[in-house]
Amino acid sequence: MKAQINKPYITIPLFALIVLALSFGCARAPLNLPAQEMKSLDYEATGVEAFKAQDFQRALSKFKEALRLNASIDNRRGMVFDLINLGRVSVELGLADAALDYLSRAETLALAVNDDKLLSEAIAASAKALLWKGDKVDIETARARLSRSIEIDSKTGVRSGGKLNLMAAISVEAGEYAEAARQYEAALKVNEGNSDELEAANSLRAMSTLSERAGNSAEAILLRAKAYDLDRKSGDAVKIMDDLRSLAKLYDAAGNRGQALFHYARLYDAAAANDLTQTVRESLTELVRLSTETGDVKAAEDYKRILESVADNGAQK
Amino acid sequence: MEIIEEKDKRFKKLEWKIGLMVVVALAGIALVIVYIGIQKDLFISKYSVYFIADSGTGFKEAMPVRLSGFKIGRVKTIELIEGAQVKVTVELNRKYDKWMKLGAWATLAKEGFIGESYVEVALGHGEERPLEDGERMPYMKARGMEEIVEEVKPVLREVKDIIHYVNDPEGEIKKTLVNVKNLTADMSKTRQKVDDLLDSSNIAIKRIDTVLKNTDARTGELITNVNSKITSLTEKAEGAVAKLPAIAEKVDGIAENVRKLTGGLANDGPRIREIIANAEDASIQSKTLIRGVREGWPGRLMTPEPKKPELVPLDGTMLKRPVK
Repeated sequence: MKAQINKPYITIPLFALIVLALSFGCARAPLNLPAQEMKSLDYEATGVEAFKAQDFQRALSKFKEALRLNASIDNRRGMVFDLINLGRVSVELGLADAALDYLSRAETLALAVNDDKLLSEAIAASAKALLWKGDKVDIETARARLSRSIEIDSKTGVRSGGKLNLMAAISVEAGEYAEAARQYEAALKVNEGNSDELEAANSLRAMSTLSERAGNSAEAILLRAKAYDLDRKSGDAVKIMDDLRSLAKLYDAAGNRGQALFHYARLYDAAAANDLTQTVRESLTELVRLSTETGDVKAAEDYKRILESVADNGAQK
Repeated sequence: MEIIEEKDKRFKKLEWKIGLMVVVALAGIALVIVYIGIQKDLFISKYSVYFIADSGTGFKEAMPVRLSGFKIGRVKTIELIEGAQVKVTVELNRKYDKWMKLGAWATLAKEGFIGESYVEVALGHGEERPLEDGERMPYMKARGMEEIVEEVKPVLREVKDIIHYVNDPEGEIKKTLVNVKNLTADMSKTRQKVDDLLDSSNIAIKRIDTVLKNTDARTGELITNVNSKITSLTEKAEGAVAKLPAIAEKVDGIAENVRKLTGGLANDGPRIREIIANAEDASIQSKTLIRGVREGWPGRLMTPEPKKPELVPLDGTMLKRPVK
């Protein structure tokens, strides 16, 4: 008698049975978060979506509701997230003082929950809020705060290109252009390494401005065009219009009126679609000028007519 | 002359009788001897062959030699030879030598699993010559119980490991079975909730349907009445003064209808409130059921992963947004 048990004929079905049972039996951890926390997560997610769509008022209201829900159950960690988000949204809305208030509370709670990553984010956001206030004293405080945030990141292993961009922006505000250029280059490398297109675009945009200031139009156009391509992906209308405006000016300065006209026309369309009257007027004024200079009288008159109607109506659709 | 003359018949020719009896007895003995001889194959022509085995264990003299289960001989002698091997000589019946060709081989076998041992002979090749007297034949060692046990041992060990793995209370299979058991219990509760909800919903829907039908019928009547009255008023507009009493009477009729309708609705008010309350209960139960299904295992598979808190981007730029 020769007896042998073929191992795979037992172990393979057994393994399949285990996998099947696990996938049907104990696949997921149960949904055992409090109802308020679940709701707050929904509001947070909606707020983040609204922020990404540049609907900052809506984002603000969603984050406020999320904060209220988290506060009702003393979910401190959740509150830190909401306070930081509220701070950042307030900065975008130009409400620097409200932003600083939110972020100060966020820092206190981040220390309470002992979360260095969140603490670093709160400090960095407060640095940006200080920058946007524009006060000279606050610029230095912003630099100190941002340095502290970057120092905390070095301990937690985080490399944030956004914070490096802000540090470079501080250098620009302080008139330290060479240092700013070096910092933007370093930030760009980090952003490209992190595949962070939003911050990479910020780096390129700022580097373009510095190149323009240094008189290097060709490099400025190249950098700005790259920034424009990345900004198109994010769909941030303000950044896209800034890129179009800058490209139009650069081409105009370089004597390429055709490209300048094209970019001002694109800027006009975008501004009109976004109901930004000031930018509409600005772009139309330039279009009138350039059309006149290129001898396209008809186009110049058309643009002038539109400009007058915008001046009368206050907006052009 | 005989001195004594035998008178009894029984004793006459006694010598013959005794002689006959002796002869018969001797013949009987001879027959027995022959019979025994035939049984013991004493009169059969035999020849001997031998084989060499490593061990004499299991062999004994007079052990049968079988071919295809048929006895063809017996073991004659067993002797130890050089090299501590054992020479086993078998004596075979000559009439079977046509099968005992060169190439036949012997092995030790057992009847059944624990039966008597015997020497089994396997046939040789068809074309070879028969074995001759005193010739050697090959011996093949049969697989004993020990070899089989050695082969089965690793298998038994594996089986033991598998059983241990299955029986481990901290193992995945036991835990899975416990989880399945718990899930089955949850499913029963969920099903009960579904049944209760369906019952409540049915009752609530029926009630709402009845009320709506009644209301619809009364509203239709009212509209019909109102329409007819208005038409009548329009047609008689010029003679309105003369016909005012008649018109007033008709308006009274309309008012009476409205009063009846209002009274009807007022009577049904508690029922309507009850229906609304039931609908609210059904809604609460639905939410509970949905939560139960979501938290039960099939729902968990279909429900997306719970969201995690997320920060909006820092956006490291000084580009400020224009105020609209």
